[in-house]
Amino acid sequence: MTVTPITTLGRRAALGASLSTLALPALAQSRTEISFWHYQTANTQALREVLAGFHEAHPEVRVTDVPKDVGTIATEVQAAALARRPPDVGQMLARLTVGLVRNAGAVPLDSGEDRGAFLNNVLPRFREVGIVDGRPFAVPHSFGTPLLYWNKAIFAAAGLDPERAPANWDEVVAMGVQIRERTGRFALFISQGGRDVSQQQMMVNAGATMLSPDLTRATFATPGAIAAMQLWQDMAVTHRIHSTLSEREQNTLWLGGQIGMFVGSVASFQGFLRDTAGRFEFGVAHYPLWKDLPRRVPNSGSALMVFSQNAPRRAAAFKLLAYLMRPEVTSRWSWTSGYLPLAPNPLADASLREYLEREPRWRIPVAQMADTVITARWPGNRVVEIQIVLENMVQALMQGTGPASTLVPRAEAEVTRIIAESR
Amino acid sequence: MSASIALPAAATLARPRARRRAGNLLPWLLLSPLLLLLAAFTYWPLLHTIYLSVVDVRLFQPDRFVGLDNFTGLFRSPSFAAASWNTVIYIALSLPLKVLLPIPIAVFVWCAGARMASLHRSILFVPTLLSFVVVSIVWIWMLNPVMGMVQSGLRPLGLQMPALLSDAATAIHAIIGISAWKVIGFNALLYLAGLASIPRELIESMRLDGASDWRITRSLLLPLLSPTIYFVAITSVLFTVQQVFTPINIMTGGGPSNATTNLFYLAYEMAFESFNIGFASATALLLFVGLGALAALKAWLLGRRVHYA
Repeated sequence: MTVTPITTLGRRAALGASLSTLALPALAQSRTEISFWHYQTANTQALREVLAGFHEAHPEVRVTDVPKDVGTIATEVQAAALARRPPDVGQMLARLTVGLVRNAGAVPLDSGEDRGAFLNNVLPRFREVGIVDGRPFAVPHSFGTPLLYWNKAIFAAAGLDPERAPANWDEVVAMGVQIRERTGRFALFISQGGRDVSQQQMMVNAGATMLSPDLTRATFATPGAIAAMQLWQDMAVTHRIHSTLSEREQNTLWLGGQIGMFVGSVASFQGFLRDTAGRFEFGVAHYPLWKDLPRRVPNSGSALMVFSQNAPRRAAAFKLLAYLMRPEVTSRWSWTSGYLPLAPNPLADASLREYLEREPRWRIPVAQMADTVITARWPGNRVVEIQIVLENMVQALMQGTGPASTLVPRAEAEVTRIIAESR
Repeated sequence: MSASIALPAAATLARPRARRRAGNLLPWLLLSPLLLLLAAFTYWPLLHTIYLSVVDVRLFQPDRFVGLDNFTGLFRSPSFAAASWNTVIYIALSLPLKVLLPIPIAVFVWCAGARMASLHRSILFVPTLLSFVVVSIVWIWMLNPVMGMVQSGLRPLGLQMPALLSDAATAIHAIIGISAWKVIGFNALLYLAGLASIPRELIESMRLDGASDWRITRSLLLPLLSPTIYFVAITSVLFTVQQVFTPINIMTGGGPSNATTNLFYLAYEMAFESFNIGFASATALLLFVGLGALAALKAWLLGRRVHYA
């Protein structure tokens, strides 16, 4: 029987196909699968593009990303850790890192093969947020800083220069009064998203430090912080330039072009670009200075932590972190998601420079990276109660129930008590 | 031979007993799916909550017994004091709106007769059908003091809508009003069902005797409606605390200054935002005991005045 070339080819093809089907499970077996819990629900597509790049660079690792709610992700991670099924990598709010190290079994990031070399790709002042007991347990990822956004149309209507934002809080008040008197609109809205973020930013910018170095007591009731909080109350109660509406109502009003200035995270930038398009033009300015002090703004946002208790998966998780911290990856993530770039010298990246040419407003947050300081990382398992105390302090100020000289020290004492009682 | 006689005798005795035993087991068998579900999802969680309220749950370590520490810590928390007081306010102010207000509405619809009855009932039932999340968001927009629908109506009159949801003095009342609006129609339908069982001849005979509307209501309708009032009152007490969770979560987040939080919401915050399982379990347990006591008290008070026809 003679075998024709076609038949031979067919047999080879069949053999090849059979071998490939044998090889597929082998590849799957050699591939390590890890889970990545995050709360980037607004940036899921951008994140998945980053992960696609990782899969291309590391075909031996498969990452399954699991979107979660920002308000409950920390609880879910702790519950999963308790059930011995934690995610391999979690995107956690940076201010919760201390509690998560103690309550969720986070793994030190320098325990991998490269001893955490990827951490060097992150600005040192940003890295501080992940250091617990001298070791790195978290690396910043979706990092924010507060900015002042202003509605140029309202500024023009109030007779202000629409291209010039207030540089300090005194100017915020003066311009705010002019906006209220000339337009009858609310002049200012300081976003309190995140409960304890905005007051912390204002007090730290006024020279305070939120926590003692040993994380055992609150230390924010300084004369500068009390004066800053008193100004906040005055803006709401005396000058009536600050909207006293709820956070959700204020957001609606700002996006509807009804508020002159908005102080909030850089994370809102991309959303504002989308949601205000065709409605009004907004400007972006640095966080206002307090008196003659240099700007000091606590960073906000998230950090990545590794919870794998299994060696191969932990190694795969470290590979993912190393990839995510590459300067070109953090730059791209920055301008696609709206968070800060993380590299020590972000402008070295060509894609970021190109983006800045297209969107010059983005230069402001990049420049403000130099003014950021570490956010307060509340210890123990009663973080939400601490946040509620600080949130209530601001709301009591806004309601005019007492002066800052009473409410701020009272809140400080309450936070210290909760820290002492928590574990 | 004797054995052959004994066997049928034993069989005749055993058969009814076996059948009786099988008959006794049958109800349990039929009930078992429900009992299993209750055990798994109600009684076991309840028992486990009691356990969690007296231990400190730690990762990679055995739970540590802490006695009543979770309770004493909770009592020292200002959030707990505010949540407890607000829980009382929610119940006390909701009851007249949810229990009493639907009665005249139901009587009005009942008196209106069969004509348009379906339309009236549909209108009453619509708020119940709506998702409370959607309702909460819509009310936020309606109550917005700058761009809201209510403000649009007030503006031509030269009036300014107050910021109800961000004022500590009014926020809780706004939530109580909205949650009452959501269930008034449903409770009115329950009363309508109760009214439907009252023979109209009784009213006609009272009218022939010269009774006034008020007299008919006081002496006939309310006594015969008392089982329904009793049911609505009990369920309103029990459900108000958990029903307002959604508007609290969506509309105010418990603020401003803890003005709208309640024990149910506090337990959620402790458990699912703070992972403070001990405090959350203690809160849930106190809520369970408090509501149980309140329901028992109401049952005792109202039960004595209920007239079953």
